[in-house]
Amino acid sequence: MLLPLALLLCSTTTLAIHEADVGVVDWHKKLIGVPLAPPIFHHNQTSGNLLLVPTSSNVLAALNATDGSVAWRYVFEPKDDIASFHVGGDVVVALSGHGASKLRAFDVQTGLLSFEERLSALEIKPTGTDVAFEPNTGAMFVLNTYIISRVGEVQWTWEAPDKTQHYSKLIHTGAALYAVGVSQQTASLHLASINPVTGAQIQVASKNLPPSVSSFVVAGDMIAWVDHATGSIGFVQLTPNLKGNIRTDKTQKWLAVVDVDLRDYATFVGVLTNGEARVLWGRGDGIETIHTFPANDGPQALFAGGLDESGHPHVARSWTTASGMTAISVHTAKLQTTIPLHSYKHGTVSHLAIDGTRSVITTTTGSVQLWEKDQMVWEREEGLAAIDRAAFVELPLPERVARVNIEGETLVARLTRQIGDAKDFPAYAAAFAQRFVTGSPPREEVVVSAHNHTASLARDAFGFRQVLVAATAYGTVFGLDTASGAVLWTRVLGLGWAAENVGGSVKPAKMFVVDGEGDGKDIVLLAQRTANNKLVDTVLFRIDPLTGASVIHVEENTDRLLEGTDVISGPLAEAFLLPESDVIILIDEYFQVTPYPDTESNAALVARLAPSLHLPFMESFSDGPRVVGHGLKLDRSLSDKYIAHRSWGLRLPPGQVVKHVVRPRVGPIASLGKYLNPRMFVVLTQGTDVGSDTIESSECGVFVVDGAKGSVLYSAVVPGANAGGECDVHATLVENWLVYHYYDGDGMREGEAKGWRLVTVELYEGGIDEKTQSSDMSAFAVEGMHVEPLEQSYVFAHGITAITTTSTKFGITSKDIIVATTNNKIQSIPRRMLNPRRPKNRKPTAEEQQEEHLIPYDVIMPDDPRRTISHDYEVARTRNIITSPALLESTSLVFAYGLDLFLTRVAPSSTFDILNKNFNKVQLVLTVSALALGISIAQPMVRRKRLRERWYN
Amino acid sequence: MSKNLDYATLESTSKWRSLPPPPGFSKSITSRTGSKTSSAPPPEAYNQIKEKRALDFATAPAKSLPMQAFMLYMSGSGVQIFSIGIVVMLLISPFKNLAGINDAFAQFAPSTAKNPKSFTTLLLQKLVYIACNVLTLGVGLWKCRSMGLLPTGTGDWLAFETRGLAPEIALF
Repeated sequence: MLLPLALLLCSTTTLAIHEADVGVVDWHKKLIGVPLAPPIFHHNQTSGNLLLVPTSSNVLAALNATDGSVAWRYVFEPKDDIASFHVGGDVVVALSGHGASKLRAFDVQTGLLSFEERLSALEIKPTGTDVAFEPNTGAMFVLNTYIISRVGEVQWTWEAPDKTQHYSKLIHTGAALYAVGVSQQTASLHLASINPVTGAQIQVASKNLPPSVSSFVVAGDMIAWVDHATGSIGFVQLTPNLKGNIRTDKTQKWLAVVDVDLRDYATFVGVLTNGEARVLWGRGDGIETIHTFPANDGPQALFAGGLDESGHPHVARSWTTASGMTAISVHTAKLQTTIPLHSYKHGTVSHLAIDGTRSVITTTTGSVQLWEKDQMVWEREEGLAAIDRAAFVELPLPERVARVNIEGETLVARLTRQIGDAKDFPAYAAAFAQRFVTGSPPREEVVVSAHNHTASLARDAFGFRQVLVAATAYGTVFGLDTASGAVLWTRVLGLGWAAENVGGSVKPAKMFVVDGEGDGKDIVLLAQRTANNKLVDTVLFRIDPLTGASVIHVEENTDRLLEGTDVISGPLAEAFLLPESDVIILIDEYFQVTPYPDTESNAALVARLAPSLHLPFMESFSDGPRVVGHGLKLDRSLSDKYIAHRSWGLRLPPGQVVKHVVRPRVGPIASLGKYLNPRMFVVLTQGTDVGSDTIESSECGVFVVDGAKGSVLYSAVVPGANAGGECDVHATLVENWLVYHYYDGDGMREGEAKGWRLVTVELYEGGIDEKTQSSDMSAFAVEGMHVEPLEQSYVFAHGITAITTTSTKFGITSKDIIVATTNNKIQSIPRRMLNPRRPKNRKPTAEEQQEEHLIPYDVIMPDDPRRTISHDYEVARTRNIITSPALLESTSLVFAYGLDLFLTRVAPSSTFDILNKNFNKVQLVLTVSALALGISIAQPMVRRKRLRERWYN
Repeated sequence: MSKNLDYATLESTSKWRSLPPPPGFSKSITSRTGSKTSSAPPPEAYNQIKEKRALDFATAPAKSLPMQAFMLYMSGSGVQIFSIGIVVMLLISPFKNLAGINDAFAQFAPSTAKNPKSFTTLLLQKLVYIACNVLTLGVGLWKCRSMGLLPTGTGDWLAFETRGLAPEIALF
């Protein structure tokens, strides 16, 4: 009896996702971020080899060397930046946080935190950190600029007598512990020797160096450096009394010395000015050459060293050959290989790590690849951990469907085509019969499985399959398949003129989806290209989302960098898509308006719309950013382009500056009573005095502003500041519904507790039963200011990092709020829970319950685990969530990106437009056929009986 | 020249003619019709009775209203098969009745009426009848309203809402 009840409950609420749907409706990519340093191989006989790497996403991660999967990762808090990491035996140590004062030790195999210690913080910014491990005891010495601490059973701290002498390396030999630092200002080498057991200072010394020396390498108990002025190599041996003399070797002209992480083998690499590189061995009294790499035939040489599984040291060099390939040559393994790394796909090599014949390279676009000789074993696209802009693009109809609407087709042609198509009819009829009888639809048409990569790129029946175009901060654009998460294509954005000899970076600014040729869509990506000489250009890329090819014909070839077209020589202030068109207007730093595509008709469209256009956007002023509204006008005496002139400024309470602008999400349904001002948007503000503890500065503002005239329609001041005094308010606005979330650090009034608050606000026209047609009213109409907000606030269990609403095709389905919580989950909060009309202190009437599903107000929003739509995935550091309608009205696609990527689909009002999966089609078919059979048997019988009745009546 | 079959002559010559009537058969039909014509009321009184009957017929829908109201009350405000059945009956029967009003009252038409099916015969009764049916209809509509089936709310006419574009456009 309980089972049907449970089933009934499941079918009516449909809050939680079913376990069977995991991996079918959703996918999850666990990423680590772009490596900051060369990965370090860690060998282990039992559990396989690991690659340890710190990343720019503030993650310390271990990858399995065999398949590239994430063995473990530790995600550091945003304000707890990794300063350095060190591997010693089976321990990974990371220094992080303010002043690199936090030390965490992890088990290499499991990634479990073995201990965490807060070291004494410096008064100054740390200039050098190092960790030396004491063999056999598990103790370690931590150097932080001028403080050395021993962490272990015996703890001591040594502080340099002269705090202006900064050390950067720590060397532990059997005899003593040495701290070494070099100062270019005073042209001196600072040395200190310390008793590793007691922490007593043995000797502190300073030696004079040539002023050109800025760095040095450690090789065993030797320090070596290159004097750039003379090209000589200098070295000194460390003894506890620090009496060693500086010696120089002037036989060769040296360019640099490179540390290859083989300190214990006294091995390092020296680069000669003639392009040769030598593997050097510090013998104590001199330097010997072990191996010479010949001068390479291309620029960009990287060196890496490491031990292979049997403990032999290797040194490798990689360089870009003249033919654009990447060559790697490994000394001792006698390996010389060339790997096909295409710069148009992956950029150039930024780090190299070596393990016997296996090499790991990381590239400037964030790709991590492991190569066995010249075969790629695995690859990770870590650039996806830094997505800046992303957009869903609907796929075009499959060709056989799309072909039907051919305009201007002659009758004969159409008949021929239809006769040609008729040959598919038997197969279609068979498939239809099978589908009708068995109730199992053809797979690719209805359920897009996450593991089905083979199907070609065409729209499925329900539109669940789309292309996700993502532009990353590393100047790359990815096309992802929403069905599987597979990378369809990768493009690297070129640097244009800056590529030649200046260098620079491309950062995506805005992304639009516009109509392309036929029924396809195009992606228009606007990016800011910053050359290293500080010149900024705005570049526009127009890409076919299916292939990644440029729509511009001159660069259709996908085997090249994507260069785009320079649209503005200068930074971009803002860009907007004109309503009901595919025209983008670009606003440059002088507020000149340029339409794209720049044609006569588009200029005419801008001229036609100009009087009614209002463009609110953020501008920087001396006292901080502000939101300013702009109108368009044409002044021929100044420029032949339209100019965006300031028409209003948002007046904020004193001491507040704009932090963030939340754009409204467009709802297609207009309804009476709701205050549907299409010009509304949200401005989040924060105090100017970030960091101070006064109440006023920690206040955060939420303003709903009319974009045409800057009037405030709703405002609230909340104590949303987090520990750092920065406002941490998140808001989303759709139609007339505003939801915002903040942290109430100290209850504003008596009896209020700390915690997160979720506030839901709905704006209604005028008073009760008063309707003002707000959606098509002028912004300057008097009735427009009659707004009635209904609001309720709830205690929420988690902090959030992103918030948005679901979006469906026609906007009829109720909207859920999707949030990414700080405990790495994606949750969907039903509209029912956030209805600001939930009755307080009374029970909802039968009518309210029936028609609006109102539930009594409760100040606490319970932490219902069924609301989690991300299953048990860890979706860490979500920065943004975007949603897109599917073809089904009931369903919306949700994509969360940050460190990890997560995509799923949700049905806020349950899937009312498709049959339940449990629908018994067989039973239906059997019933119908049984009835048909019954009729065919009974019909002649009845006919005979009628006939007989007529005869004998 | 037509030939009529003279059954009477046949009968008279029939050998069955002299048979005694079966038991219980009475030959008094002729005598009864004779007495009836003699005791018939005068046509005026007859018409009065007809008028009275017509009035009764006209007020019949009103008389059944209390019962129907009770049934409506018992069927509740939910949209179910019973309440819908009753409401549909209440809504349709007045129109059906009004459509057949002349036929229904033809039997009560006074013998003096030239055309018993004309609307002007028994006009008063017919007006009463119309009023009573409108009453029934009103009860039906009231029931519809209480069930929330009448599209009286603005939300029921959303499909016909037209919204123009606002004169100002803000881009984000």
